[in-house]
Amino acid sequence: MTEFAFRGAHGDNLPTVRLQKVVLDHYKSVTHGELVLPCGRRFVPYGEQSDILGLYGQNGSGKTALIEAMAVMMALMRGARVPPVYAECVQQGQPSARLAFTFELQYPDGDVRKFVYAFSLRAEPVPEADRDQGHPDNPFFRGSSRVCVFDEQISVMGTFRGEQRKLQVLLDSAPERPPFGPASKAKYFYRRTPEKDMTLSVSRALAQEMSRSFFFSEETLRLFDSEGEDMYSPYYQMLLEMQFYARYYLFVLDTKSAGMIRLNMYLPIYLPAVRLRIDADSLLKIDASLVPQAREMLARLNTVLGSLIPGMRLNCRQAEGREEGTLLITACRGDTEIPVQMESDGVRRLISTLNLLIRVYNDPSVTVAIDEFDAGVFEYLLGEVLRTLQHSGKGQFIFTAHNLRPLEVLNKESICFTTANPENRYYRMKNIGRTNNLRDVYFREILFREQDETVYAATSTEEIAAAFHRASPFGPQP
Amino acid sequence: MAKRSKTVSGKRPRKTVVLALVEGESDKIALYPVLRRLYGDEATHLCFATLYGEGGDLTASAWVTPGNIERRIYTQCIWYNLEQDHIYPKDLTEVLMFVDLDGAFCPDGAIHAYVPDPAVYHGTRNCCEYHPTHINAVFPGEIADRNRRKSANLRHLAGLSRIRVDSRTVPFSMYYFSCNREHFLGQDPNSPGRDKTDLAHGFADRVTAEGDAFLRSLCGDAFCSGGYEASWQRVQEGLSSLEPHSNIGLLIRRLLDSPAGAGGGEGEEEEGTL
Repeated sequence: MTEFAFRGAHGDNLPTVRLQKVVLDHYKSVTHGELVLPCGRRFVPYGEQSDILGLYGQNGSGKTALIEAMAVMMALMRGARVPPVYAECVQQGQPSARLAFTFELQYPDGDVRKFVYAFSLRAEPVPEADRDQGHPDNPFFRGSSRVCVFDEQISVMGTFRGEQRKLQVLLDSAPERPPFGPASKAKYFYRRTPEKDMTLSVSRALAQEMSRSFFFSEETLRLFDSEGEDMYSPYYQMLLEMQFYARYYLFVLDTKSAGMIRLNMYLPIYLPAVRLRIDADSLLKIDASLVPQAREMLARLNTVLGSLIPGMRLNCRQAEGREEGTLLITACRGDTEIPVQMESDGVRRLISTLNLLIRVYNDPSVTVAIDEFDAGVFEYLLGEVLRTLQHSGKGQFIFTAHNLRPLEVLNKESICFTTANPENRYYRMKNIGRTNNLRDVYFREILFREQDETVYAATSTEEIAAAFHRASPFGPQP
Repeated sequence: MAKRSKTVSGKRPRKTVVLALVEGESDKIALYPVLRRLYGDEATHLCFATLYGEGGDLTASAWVTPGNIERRIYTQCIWYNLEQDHIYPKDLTEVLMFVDLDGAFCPDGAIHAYVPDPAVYHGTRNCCEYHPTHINAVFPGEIADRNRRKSANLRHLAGLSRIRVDSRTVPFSMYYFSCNREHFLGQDPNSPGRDKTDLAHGFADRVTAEGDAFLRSLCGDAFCSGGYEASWQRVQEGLSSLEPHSNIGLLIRRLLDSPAGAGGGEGEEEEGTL
């Protein structure tokens, strides 16, 4: 269903969706981690405030794990295939990882509901012949195993047509209840017959085989859809709304995509539901009929680009000697014009993600998660962008970074830290005063370790110097 | 991962900071494992600051006198090191200072004029060579002047039990190597700079490998037999400041023998302000 068709079918009562909470178990370096976003800590009414979360911490302490978990969730809720690269994410020695995401849906008519989506992941070996491309943005990542998603569970709570409902399991694909449980909730989705149960069981097996979600898969939703208008329950509608949100409002960029920009293979430009690729020769190949739209997109991009990097704008023109619809994209600063792929890493990364930032700023229902948002971006500019998003933006923005400038400019509740304790990976500092500079507090915490969790496993300059000396090829054998 | 016990307020007890003032980078390398072993790394953060003055050595610098040395140490050495690590003066529980005596207390008669090897002489006025009985100097007058400044400053610092850091005073003790660290450890007192780093790494590796037994072996110096004041008295006599001595054994013994193993100086409980 396209965005337009969905809006037509569901009228204006589309909810604003925000991610509120993430719980990870046995996922990468996280044995257990619970992260509550600012909108999960206090109620933020529909479309009034942005929701920003910066995740900070030592190398290898679970920052990227969060973004990658979100990437898996996004793929599942879109009904798409989870790329096999994520199969290696289950912690060593554990049979499976479990991920749970809580969303808040605020409807224009005042209903506020919660939607909890939990699932388990495990890796399954793939025969050599069946191995294919690993990551949509990065063909070099090829795994020898694929992801298998099982034990999916969807729970909801909140107000339904003014009536308060407690948290209840709506759909559960645990193996003991085929095709799914609980039986009492099936009536909200389809009229049970042995044939339909059979179809669903097949769909379920297929979903596991294809690294997809059972509930969000096309086959399942098609069966629910075929039941007709009278079976159209608010629960089923929520399922559709969440898929719609994941397809058009949720964007997760992990570092596997950013790698392509660094390697200069191509420059992805993220648009709603589409990814344009500017190739290594700075050429954008699109259908000739879409050229006016591409020009308009670039014009919008230029409005913001010029304010971030004064004097810079992107130009496009038909590439000489190429077929219609092949555009040469150049970056201009003053009188100089160079192909966009010749621009610096940081600039290309900004261009790549700028469309998403524009959407975060303008659309309350958009959630964007970017790993290593600070890579290649000048510290002060980073602070300016984040401050703008926080103060006057509307959407939800989750990022990880190492640059500590955001600690100074963002609200304290927008900053979360990873700890050195795998059992409790995500942590918010306590006893932070209103006038404290969180960056200073963080540095002092690294030294003094007053908080309940250690945010940094200690290092010392003198020990590092001694280690460098011991590792010298001219020194004594270690 | 071992967690420290929590206090009533729910916070973990704050780590204390011990500041070590040293003369150069090789001192940091050599002394870090010693102090780390003595103080442990659970309750104490070790912070190093280098004593830079005109000509390298703050205690021997021109314009540094017993009247202003405390302020100079704070403004020239301590302040920006604490600032870099976001440490406040109130966090300090102890200040330790490690100095090379460089024969500062030897009589002027023990400073001999000599002509250095042109291959190694770079024209510096304070160029000299240390020997157990005398100092060979290109300009003996310069070295005699330096010794007068340095010995006056050291005498003043040796008499202090607390040092002023910003508006507070912090327990203070100063330990010497005579005539310098290399000499005390049985190495060449006139090692060039790049060898000093290697020697320091060698020393540090021994501390790490041999542990407390090696530290105890450093306590054997004759000047450690009395107290802190006596150790400073004895090194000022005659040519002692040119002979291999050190009172670092007092520090090692104090910390190894104290039941807590670590902690601040003698006057930790009293909060001194000026």
